[in-house]
Amino acid sequence: MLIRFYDRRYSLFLVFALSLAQLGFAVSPAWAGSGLMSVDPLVPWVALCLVSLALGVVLVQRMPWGGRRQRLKEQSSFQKTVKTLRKLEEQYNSFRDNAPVGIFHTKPEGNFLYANAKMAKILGYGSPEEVLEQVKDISSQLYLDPSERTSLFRKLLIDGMVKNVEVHFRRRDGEVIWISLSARAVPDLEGGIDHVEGFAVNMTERRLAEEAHAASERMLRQMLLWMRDVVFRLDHQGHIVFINPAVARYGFKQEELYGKPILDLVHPDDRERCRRNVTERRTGDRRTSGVEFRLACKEDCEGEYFPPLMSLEAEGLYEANASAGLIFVGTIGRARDITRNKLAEMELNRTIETKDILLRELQHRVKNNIQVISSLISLSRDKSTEPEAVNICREIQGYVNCMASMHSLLSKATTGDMLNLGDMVREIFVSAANLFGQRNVIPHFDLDNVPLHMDKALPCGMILNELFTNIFKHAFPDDRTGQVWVQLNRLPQGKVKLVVSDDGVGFGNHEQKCGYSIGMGLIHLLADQLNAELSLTETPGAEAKMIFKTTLSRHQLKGRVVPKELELEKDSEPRVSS
Amino acid sequence: MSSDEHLNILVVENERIVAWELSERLKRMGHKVCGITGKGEEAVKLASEIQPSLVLMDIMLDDEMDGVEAALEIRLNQDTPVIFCSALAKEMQTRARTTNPLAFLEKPLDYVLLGHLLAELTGSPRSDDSC
Repeated sequence: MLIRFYDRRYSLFLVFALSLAQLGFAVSPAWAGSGLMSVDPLVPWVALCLVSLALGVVLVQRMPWGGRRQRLKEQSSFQKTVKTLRKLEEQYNSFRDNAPVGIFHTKPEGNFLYANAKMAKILGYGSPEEVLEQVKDISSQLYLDPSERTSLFRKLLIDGMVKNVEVHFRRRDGEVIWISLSARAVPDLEGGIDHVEGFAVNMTERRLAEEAHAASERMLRQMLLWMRDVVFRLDHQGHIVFINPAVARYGFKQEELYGKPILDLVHPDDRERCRRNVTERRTGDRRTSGVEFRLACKEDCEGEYFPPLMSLEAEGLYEANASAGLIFVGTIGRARDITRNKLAEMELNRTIETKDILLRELQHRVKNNIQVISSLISLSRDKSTEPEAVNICREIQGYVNCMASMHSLLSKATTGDMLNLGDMVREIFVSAANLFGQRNVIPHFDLDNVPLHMDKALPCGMILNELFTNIFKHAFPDDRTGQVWVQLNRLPQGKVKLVVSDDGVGFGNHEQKCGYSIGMGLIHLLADQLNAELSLTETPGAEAKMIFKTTLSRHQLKGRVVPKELELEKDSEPRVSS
Repeated sequence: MSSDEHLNILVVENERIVAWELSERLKRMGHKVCGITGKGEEAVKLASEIQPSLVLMDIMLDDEMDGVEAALEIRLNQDTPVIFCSALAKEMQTRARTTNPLAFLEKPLDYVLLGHLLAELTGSPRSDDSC
């Protein structure tokens, strides 16, 4: 059968014709009719050409110069692979050399085949090369106990590997360190160990920290064991998570208490009060201090008194939570037996109370006695007909009244043995005025509040009494009227200025009449005792000015409890002028 | 001072010397001391018998009945004013106040103040001789 091919492209015709020829068809190109050639005679020729072409291709492939391109391609692929492998090896070596853990290859004989920089550093050497050169017997040079290496190799022979084995190494500088080793045995052809490769980590710091932590925990545990206080930890519901053995002293079994509410240990009457402090810690203060409660103690408890009284210290434990903020997770606390302290405190209070009663009784007796003395002097004065004797009685009564006034002020004072000098001035003035029945003298007071110790108040009060007595006796004769000014001012450095003045007849009259009286002598003596600067002047009435320190001297302070405002008196030189 | 201006005073004081001096002073002020005792029960009895116009009462007395108890007893039976004179003034004032006393004087006694109080009771100007 003939098939005409109407495409003028020759190549397409050839392919088409070749394919159809194999099927037994003949293809004639369209141009065949144009006289160029007929298709039928071409068929064998085309077939022959195709066969020749196929044979040529086969031959070319088989010739030595044939397939060069393919070989070049293969060669290039191989080189690429080699390059990749080299790069990987470099990366591996770099990683191995600079790894943050020690990496080693060692021979069973005891020398290093390889050590990285970290390994060298762990062992105290400057570089891996130094390790390889200098360490020739690992057992004796590195192991603190060489038998440890032997047992390590035994394990390697059996299991082929070891993991996290901790051994003692001695560094190059002699320092002993803890090393954690993980290694595997690389076998030789005879089934033995050719070499060992592995990792080493310096565990010394962690080990020391662990040892310190363990020691601290041992110590804490020991303290908790020996503590007499009951120490506990509760969960958020107030159930016991931990309690120390001290609780056994009160008849409770430590192990039976775990998981039970802490309030089971509290006396039923005190439970409600304690509940708030140990179980309801979600709001308010986190800390409880000094809450007293009685133990719901069993009868075989060791306490001397029943039920024992405890003082509670507790603190809420909280954990931070991103969504809910702080969450209450429990309580830690301590209960201390304060029964003895409480009894001692009660006994002390009783003693103080008794002493207070005794002190009050003593003050009462003193006041009564002063009253009796004053009454006796008064009665003697009344019976006396001599004016001089009456005067003497009155003066003596003045001294007694002055002391009574100070005693009265002292018994009312709330600051121990301190008096208010201003109050004292008023009291003594009134007492002296009453004694002399003086009503024509008008007093003017300008008094600062000055605290004064009893030791200084007594001489000061006696001076005041003497000055007022002088005024009432001599300054205003013939019942004339007059005025008295008393000025008391604080000065710097703990000093005070006390000025008593009047508009009477002055000292001259009195001195001329009486000469140097006992009263004036007393004023000078007592001013000396006070270390006071004393001046007596005519104004034209009389003025007595006194400057002195209200503080006590060092020897006066010795062995005393004194208020803070009392400073030491540095200058103790007596200065008296008149 | 006329007789109706003076007071009949019962002095209850366990310290005899103080009682003596007090009596002397009261007499000098123009008053009459109608009785002196140092015992609480006796004071109640005397007050009932004598019917004084004033009782000067110490607190610490010789028998078991103290001045406050005695004053309370007297005030329950009769309308006699009481002035307490005691060294225990500060501590006892609260308790003594239950008897509604006229005054509370602290020892050593301030006789000027006492004179003023007595003068107020009699409604007359007080005597100057109070010391």
